[in-house]
Order: sequence, then structure tokens, then C-alpha cells
Amino acid sequence: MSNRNPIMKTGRTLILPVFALAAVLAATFAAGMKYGTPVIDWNVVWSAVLAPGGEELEHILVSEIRLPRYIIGLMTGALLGASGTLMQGALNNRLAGPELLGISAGASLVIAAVTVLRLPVPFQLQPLLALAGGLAGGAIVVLASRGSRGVAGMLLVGMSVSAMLNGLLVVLIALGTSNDVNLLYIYLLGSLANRSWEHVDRLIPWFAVMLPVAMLLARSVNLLQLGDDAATGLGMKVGRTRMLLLVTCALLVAVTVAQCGPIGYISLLAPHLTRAMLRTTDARLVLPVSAICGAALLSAADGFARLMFAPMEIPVGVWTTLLGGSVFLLYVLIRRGGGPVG
Amino acid sequence: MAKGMFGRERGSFRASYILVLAVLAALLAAMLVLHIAFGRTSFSIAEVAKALLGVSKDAGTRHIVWNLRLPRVLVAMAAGAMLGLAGAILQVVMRNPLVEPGLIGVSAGAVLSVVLAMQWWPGAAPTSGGLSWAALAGGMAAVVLIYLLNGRRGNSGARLALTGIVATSVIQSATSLLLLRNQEGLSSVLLWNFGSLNGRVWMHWSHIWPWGLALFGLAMLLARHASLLRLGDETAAGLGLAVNRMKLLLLLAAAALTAAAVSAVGAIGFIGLIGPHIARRLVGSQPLRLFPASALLSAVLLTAADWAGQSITLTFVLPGMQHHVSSLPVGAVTTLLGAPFFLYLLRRPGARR
Repeated sequence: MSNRNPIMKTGRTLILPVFALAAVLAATFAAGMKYGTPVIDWNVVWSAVLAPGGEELEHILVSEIRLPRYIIGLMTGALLGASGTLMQGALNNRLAGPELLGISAGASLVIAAVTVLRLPVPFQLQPLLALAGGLAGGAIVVLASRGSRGVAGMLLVGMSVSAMLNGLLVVLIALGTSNDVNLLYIYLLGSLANRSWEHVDRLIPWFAVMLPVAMLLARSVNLLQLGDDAATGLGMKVGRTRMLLLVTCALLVAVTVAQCGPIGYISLLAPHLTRAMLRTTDARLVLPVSAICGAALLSAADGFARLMFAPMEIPVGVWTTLLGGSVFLLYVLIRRGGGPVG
Repeated sequence: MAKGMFGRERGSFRASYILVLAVLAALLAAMLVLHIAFGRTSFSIAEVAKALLGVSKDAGTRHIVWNLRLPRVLVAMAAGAMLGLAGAILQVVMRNPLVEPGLIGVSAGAVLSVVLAMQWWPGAAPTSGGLSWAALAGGMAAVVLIYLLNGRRGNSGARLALTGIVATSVIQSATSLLLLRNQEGLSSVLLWNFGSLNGRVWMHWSHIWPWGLALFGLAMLLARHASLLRLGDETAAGLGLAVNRMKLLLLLAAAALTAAAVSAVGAIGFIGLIGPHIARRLVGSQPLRLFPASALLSAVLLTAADWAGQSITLTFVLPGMQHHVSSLPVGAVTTLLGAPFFLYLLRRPGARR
């Protein structure tokens, strides 16, 4: 029962942000369905969303192209947002994110290897392979940075490991045939373009299983936020829990990387925005809301990527890195050292 | 490491210093011959020597050596020397062993402005010198930005590198954005962001060497003052050095070196990190000695990396790719070598600050 208390207390602070995020989601949904080439009438959009099927071009456009893309954006964003909260909690480090700790780089290297070397791997197995790559990348970083207590130290280790993995990736690119390589470039920038219901089907099982699992881990995140000593004192096996959190996080990210490529900085920003909006660090609240926040961020960024320079489309990963990276930079500079507290 | 810290033992050190320089120069010459001799068609050393001296009879050999391989290796040497020198200057000015032109956003800034210039400034065709100037502006803007953002609050080493790396990724994504918007073709994105020596000809060489020579001279003129900076800002100011002006001048020199190199070969990473470090092991950290040694060593390294990249792709062809053999971009080789080195520097005890 004690679980309920903080939620009741902060109920009022919760309502407004969630409403705002829901409004953003609704707006991006409407814009995502309506705009593009061609711009579709509201009536047609409405009927196409409510009653999928039909033969007209507009119906097919909405229900077969725009809708799955939007749904993939939602799920990917939610997974990324949740993984960011988990990772920042697990490492007790507000600057941590999968793109900075080698997970994204490892996962995308594996997928790139599959693409370029034409390894006979079925699509269903690709998330698992990406997972293995992501885990390997993350493990290298965690092992290599063992002992360096500093926040920035670990991030720098992560960066250099990522740089190495990217170097290998360029080697692959140099070896590949130009056709594969062009596919690979688009993939590596992180894009939601050309996704269909097939991709949705591949993503849904992971989404349905992993997100609740992440929610279950919120309590451990809360304990870890108190610091290792306090958590140990409260009877938690810190090392094991941290490993569990990191593996879960790698799972969440690897799935998205396998489907959409490495989309940067969403998982870094979503928890920060959420904590700022909710004015709490209680992971039981932050985790679900940051999933919603990640979904809102990614779908907004994707709408931007699709419509900004229409008919030319810029992969969404470019935008998230451009905008998210700048915000992150500002944050680091304002926060000076970037210690775990505050 | 403390050897030659304050320029003591100058007399006894000079002989070994000259020896180091001579060995490096010999290595560089060896790399030159090796690089020219080895390729898809290999030549014997004698053939290379003949072609270089202009006494070769075979027109094909002459063409390959003079028009394809020699400019490439010369550009590699110049770019390597300039990046190494820039790295050494930056490490001295920021008093931070983790700094490198590629890591603090200078290369990325130069690349971004080159791409911008190619798009919106038609006068800046690769044949005119305009691109170098554009790169210069971008690199300087980046270095001044990073310095202003960090300089005031003390240069905690790791933090500077952290902001630099994030800034680099932001700038790189802006570059990708521009290239994609202009439908430049995706392959040029990575080519610029990683750097390559493929297809460099005499035009690139004639671009790069005046910058390199002039800026090397400037760096050597400033080196004596730069050595004072290592004592700390207060001490240097107390000894009568205009600290801020000197720092800015050195930073701009480093930015110009990087920018000129980048405008010819793209953002080749980590050379400016490894070169100065090894050079410091060899000749100590007195800038007057460090700068030339670091430039020479980095030239050797970049040429060797390019040679390794080429010979690897020529030797190990993966199954199914026999028809498509392009050589490895040199940026990939330097990153694969440099990133572990960076890791080692980070993990070394006492590297914290």
C-alpha cells in the first residue's frame, strides 16, 4: 500500500505534464496523418483511421504508410525514453545514455555486418543479434571504466569505445558494394521512413514484454538513486541489480536499433525533461512518464524530419542528434561538473 | 616525462634530439618509397627510385608514380604533419593531454563550413583557394567557441573532451543534414566526416603546403613563449607574458593548421592525439623540440596508416567482394588505432586532470 502514497501526493503535479504530453502526441498524430504529399482532408483521414481498408489512394496512404510509421515512432520513442531512465538510474549518472555508452554503436555494428557481409540471418533474429552487439558494447565500456569513479570518465570511455566500433563500421562500409552501402548509410543515420505493418509486428512483442519489465524495475532504480552504500544497507544486491538494469536497458535499445537504426539523444533527454516537469526523481513516476515523453519527442522529431524539407526527407536521427545534442551540451555546461546529485 | 621540463639539460639533450629527428626523417623517407612502391601494381625499389629521379624509361610507371602515388603520399605527409602540430599546440595551450583537433570540434567545424561553402558559395570551387579559407573560418569559430565555453571555468581535462565530443557529434549531424538536403549522395557524408586520401592529386598538394609551411614557421616563432604557458597562467603572466593573447594566437594557429588539412583530406581523427604523445616520450615536452618532432612523427603515422589501409584491402578480400575492391579510408585506420590509445590515456593513473 505504501506504493500508492507518493503517487497520490504527486497526483496533481502528474496531471498537467501528462496532459501536455498527450496533447503533443495528439497533435503530432493529426499532423502526421494529414500532412505530407498529398495533404489529405480531415474527413478522409478520420474515416481511414477509424475504418482501415478501402481502395482509394488516400485510405491506403494513411492506413498503410503513415499510420504504421507513426506507431513505430511511438513505440521506439517509448522504449528509448524508458531505457534512458533505467540507465541513468543504474549508473546513478544523469549524463548516461545508450548512445554514449557503446550500446547503440555495438548494436548498429552487428546489423551493419549482417547487411554488408550478406549473412543469412532471418529478420526475426536480427533484434537478438543487435542485442548481443549492444550488450557487448555496453559490457566493454562498463568493464573498461571500472575503477574510474568520475561521471565524465565513464562517458569518455564510452565515447572512445564507440569511436572504435564506428571505425570498424567504416571498414565494413569500405568493403561493401555501393548498393548495400547506401542502404547502410540511411540505416546508420537512424530513420523511420518506409516502415510498414511488418515492422510494427516485429516490434510489438518486444514492446509488450519489455516495457512492463522496465516498469517493474523502477523500485530498484529508486533504491540505487540513494547511492550504493544506502542501497546495500537497505538489503539490495547492488552489483546484481545494476547488471539486471543494464541488460534490460540494452534489450530495450537493441530492439529499436534493429528496427530503426541508432536514434540518438532521445533516451538522454526524455528523463531530464520528465524530471524537470514532474519535479520529482521518484522512478515509479519518472519511468512511465519519460516513456510517454520519449514517444512524444520522437514522433514530433519525425514529423519535423518528414515535413521540414518536403519532398526531401532528412533521416530523423540527424534531427535528434542536432537538437538533442545541443541541448545536452548546454546542460553539461550549465551543470559544470555533472555530479550524480542535484 | 619530466625530462627537459624547464629546458634544463639543454646541451646534453641536443645530440639525442637531433638523432630522434634524423631517425624520424629517415622513417618518413622510407614510408615515401614504400607507399609509392606498393599498390595494386607493385614496383621494385629500384624502379621507384628511377621514376622519382626522372630516369625511368617506362611511361606507365612514370605516370603512376608521378601523377597518382607521389601527390597522394605528399598530401598524406603534409596533412599528418599539420594535424600532429595542431595537436601538440592544443595540448600545450590547454595543458590537457586528451585534446586533439578532431576531439574538440575543430575538424568538424572546418568540415561543416567547407560543406556550407560548396553549397552556397559558387566561387569556392575546389580549384580556387576559397575552400581553405572557408575551412579556416569554420575551424576558428569552433575553437573559439569551445575555448569560450570551457576556458573560463578551468580546463578540467575530461570535461573539455566531453563537451568537445558532444559538440563534434552535433556539428557532424549538421553536416549530414546539409549534405543530405542537397542530395549530395550519402557516401560523401562519411567521406567528409571520416577523412580519406583517395584520389588526392597535385592540386590538393599545392593547396596544402603553403599553409603548412607558413603555420609551421609561426608555431616555431611562438614555441618559446608557449613553453612559459606550461608553468601555469599566473606564473607565465608574472614572467611578463601576455597570457591570453598568446593563448589565442596559438589556438588560432592550431585551428588554421587543422582547417587547412581538413579542407584537403576531410576530418581524419586521432592522429593529432597519438603523434604528440609519442613525440613527447621521445623528446620531452619542451615546445621548441616537441613541435617539429610531433609534426614529423604524425606525418610518418598518417602515411603508414594510409599504406596499411591500402595493403589490408588489397591482401584480404572478403568472399563475395572480389569485384569491388576499394581501399580503406585512412580515417578508419587512424580511428581504429587512435581510439584504443585514447582509452589507454584515460585509464592511465594520474590522467584525471
